Amino acid sequence: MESPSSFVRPTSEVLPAPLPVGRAATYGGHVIEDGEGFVNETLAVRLRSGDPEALSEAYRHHSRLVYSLALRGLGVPHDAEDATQQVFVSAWRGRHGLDPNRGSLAGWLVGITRNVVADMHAQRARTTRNLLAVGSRVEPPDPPLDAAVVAQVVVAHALDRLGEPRRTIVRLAIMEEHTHEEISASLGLALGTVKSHVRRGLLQLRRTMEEVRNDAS
Amino acid sequence: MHPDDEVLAALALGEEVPGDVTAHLAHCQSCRAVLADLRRILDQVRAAESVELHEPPVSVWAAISAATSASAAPDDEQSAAPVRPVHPVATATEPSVDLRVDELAERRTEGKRRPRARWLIAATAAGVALGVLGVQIVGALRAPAPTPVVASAQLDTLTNPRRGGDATLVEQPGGLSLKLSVEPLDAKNGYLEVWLINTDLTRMISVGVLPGNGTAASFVVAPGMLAQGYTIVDISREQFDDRPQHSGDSLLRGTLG
Repeated sequence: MESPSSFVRPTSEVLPAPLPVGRAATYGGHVIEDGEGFVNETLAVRLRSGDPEALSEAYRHHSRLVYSLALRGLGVPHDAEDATQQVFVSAWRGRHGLDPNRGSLAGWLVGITRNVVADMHAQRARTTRNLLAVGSRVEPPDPPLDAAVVAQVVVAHALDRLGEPRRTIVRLAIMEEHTHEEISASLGLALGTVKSHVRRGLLQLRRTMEEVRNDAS
Repeated sequence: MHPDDEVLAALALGEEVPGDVTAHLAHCQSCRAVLADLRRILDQVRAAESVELHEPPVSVWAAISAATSASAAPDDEQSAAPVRPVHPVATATEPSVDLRVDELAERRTEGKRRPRARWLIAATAAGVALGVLGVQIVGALRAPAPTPVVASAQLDTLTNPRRGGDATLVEQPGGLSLKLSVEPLDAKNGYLEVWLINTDLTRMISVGVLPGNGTAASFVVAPGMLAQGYTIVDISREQFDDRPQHSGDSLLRGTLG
């Protein structure tokens, strides 16, 4: 029997989670294994319709992803902050281009982030050329965000957003390579429950990655 | 017949799978592709251990908020909705149990609002089927008196759609009653919760908890819910996780009409 005390609740991120409604109208279509896809789809619909609360919710859910990507792509916190700001402002202004049926909100934001980072690199390159023209020694510009880096950050973020106890179980099983039996014993969960969380967690991550790929590529 | 994704996930994770699955993979390119994709994601998860996620400073949101607030007002249709939207408010300090507050729930609690999730845990721990927030649960044995039916819905399973039960909204003194008659549903380690979802797909309210192994129950519903668009009946499986919102794990669903 799982009880709320049988696993340690993470303290790193306490978000007021939104209400999942989304595929409700198209019932009969989709098994909703996790709330996440569901939640994001509703959020996308609300954002598109101009609900300012949806923007703040999208920020709460995805600002770590956007900022971490920008930081990887730009290397400097100051620039990453500017990029994050640009991404969410662009997302708001360009919300009519958000298609809730295609990809995910995260994927859409990742796509915008890549564009913003690329633009900022282009600006840096122009500055560098100007400086080179006057004979200064300047480091060559950093490489922009490539797909592998994006995938890594997106996976880390998706993992972070798996609900508990799934997140802990997936971390223990895949990252730390504990056996299912060890996890079952240490968390006090049935072996079958642990196995099912690892499998479904993996499928959930795949789904997130697919959505991001569909939209950001 | 392709194996279930969960079987492919088990295989990717190095678990034993039945022989016919491996035989199937030998000649099924699409399943091999899924398996390869899952293995690639496993590698990415392992690599993600070194990835640090960073929180942007609060000044970033302040700047975004300032830059977008001017354009926010014209499109804001939500504020005109008759029932307060139940999506969370922006303040992170707001307790999560309050996120789903709506007029109906407020009326039910009559000013003594209590964290609902704790009620549920307490209720189930005690093994007692009891009303939550004043919701009336009527046992299967009690025969309902013939009453005028306002609307009804066939409740279907979400996987391989088939009829799994029925919902009827009937008039009763003092309001409406949502009567459910469903096949036995497996709550696993959690409990079953009944929801009314708005057709605007942004709002939902919890109407109560289906007693464990219960195949019939009725819930008091405020008049006007139908008119406000709360017509989708949904039964979800919830965990005892202190998260009052819908888990996303829906078992049955149908639209009242």
